[in-house]
Amino acid sequence: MAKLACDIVTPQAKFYSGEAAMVVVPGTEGDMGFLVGHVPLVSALRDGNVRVQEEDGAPAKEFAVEGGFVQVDGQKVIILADKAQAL
Amino acid sequence: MPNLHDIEKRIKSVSSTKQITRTMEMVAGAKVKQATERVEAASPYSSSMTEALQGVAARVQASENPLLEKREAVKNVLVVAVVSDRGLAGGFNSNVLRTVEKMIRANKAQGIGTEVIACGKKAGGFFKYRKITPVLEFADLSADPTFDEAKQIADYAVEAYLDGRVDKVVLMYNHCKNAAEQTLTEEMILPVDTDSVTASASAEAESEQKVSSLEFEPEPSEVLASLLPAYLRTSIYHALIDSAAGEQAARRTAMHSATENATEMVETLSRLYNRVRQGAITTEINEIVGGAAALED
Repeated sequence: MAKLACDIVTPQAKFYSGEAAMVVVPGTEGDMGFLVGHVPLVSALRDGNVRVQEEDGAPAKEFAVEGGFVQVDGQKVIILADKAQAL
Repeated sequence: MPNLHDIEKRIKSVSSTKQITRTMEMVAGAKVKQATERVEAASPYSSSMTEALQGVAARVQASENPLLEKREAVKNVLVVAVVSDRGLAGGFNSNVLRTVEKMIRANKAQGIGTEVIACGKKAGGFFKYRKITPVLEFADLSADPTFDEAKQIADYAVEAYLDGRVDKVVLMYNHCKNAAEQTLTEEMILPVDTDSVTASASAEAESEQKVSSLEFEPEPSEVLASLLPAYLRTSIYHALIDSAAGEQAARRTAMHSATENATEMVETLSRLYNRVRQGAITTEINEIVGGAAALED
């Protein structure tokens, strides 16, 4: 299955970069999951955990993020966070 | 004729100064690399941030957010002066500070009030000496600026702007153009100038139809309301680390020329030393020869 390019960037550095089958982010109005071909979207995030599922069925990588935004087009998810931390 | 001993002392002192400047040059050279790497590491974030803002700004009117609105009458200006904590970096600090001082004076002549945020110990001292009290002051951070510092500045600027206490916010810093050159940069950060941002965004929108289908969550105006302060923080943080890189580069250049000057000085002094020494020897020989000739007669 096609994959999404996923970047988590903080002001200090590119925190994570990889390919994912699914990315789940904590939007201000509820968690959102993105798959390939998602409609272009910009959303603010609340503090919470981002889950990046790199392979279908494999355990997801989790990151705690604080403050930020997510930007999605069909192929790419960019998460802009003030702070990020791997869990 | 200068004393031999005095010249010797001067040569010693110049050489030890040279040792210090050469060490500082090398230390600054190592730090330049580190600082420029940090600027590069931050650029994916700021470019994504600009991209996100473009997307939103293209779809929202300027009147929808007070931070975008330009005020007709500018009565108060907030200047963020970004300099370093330490001197010995050539004109690095004084360039910025003198420009800010000039600006304050020009504003005063026009009846415009000016508030100052001082980043770096050198700015604090400079303004205190001139009886200007900065509204915010940061020290010990110029070598390693943190995002929190940028956040504090941005929060203050946004608050003051929304309150109507200031009508314009300007950043003044040294942009590190390359390792050898810094350029003084004046950047207006509030109101956010979307003209430049949206100009490129609308060109993109025409070429890419899919932009019109961009979704927002929550509403575009709400996203904008949280995106703009974040954009501001990014701009300020970028200026801080850019200035930090410039500081090291400026120090390296300054120390390099200081080392060169010291080398030249040691050379001139040793030439003088040798000449004086030779002169003394010649005089002595003359005296001996003269004395011997006098005895023979």
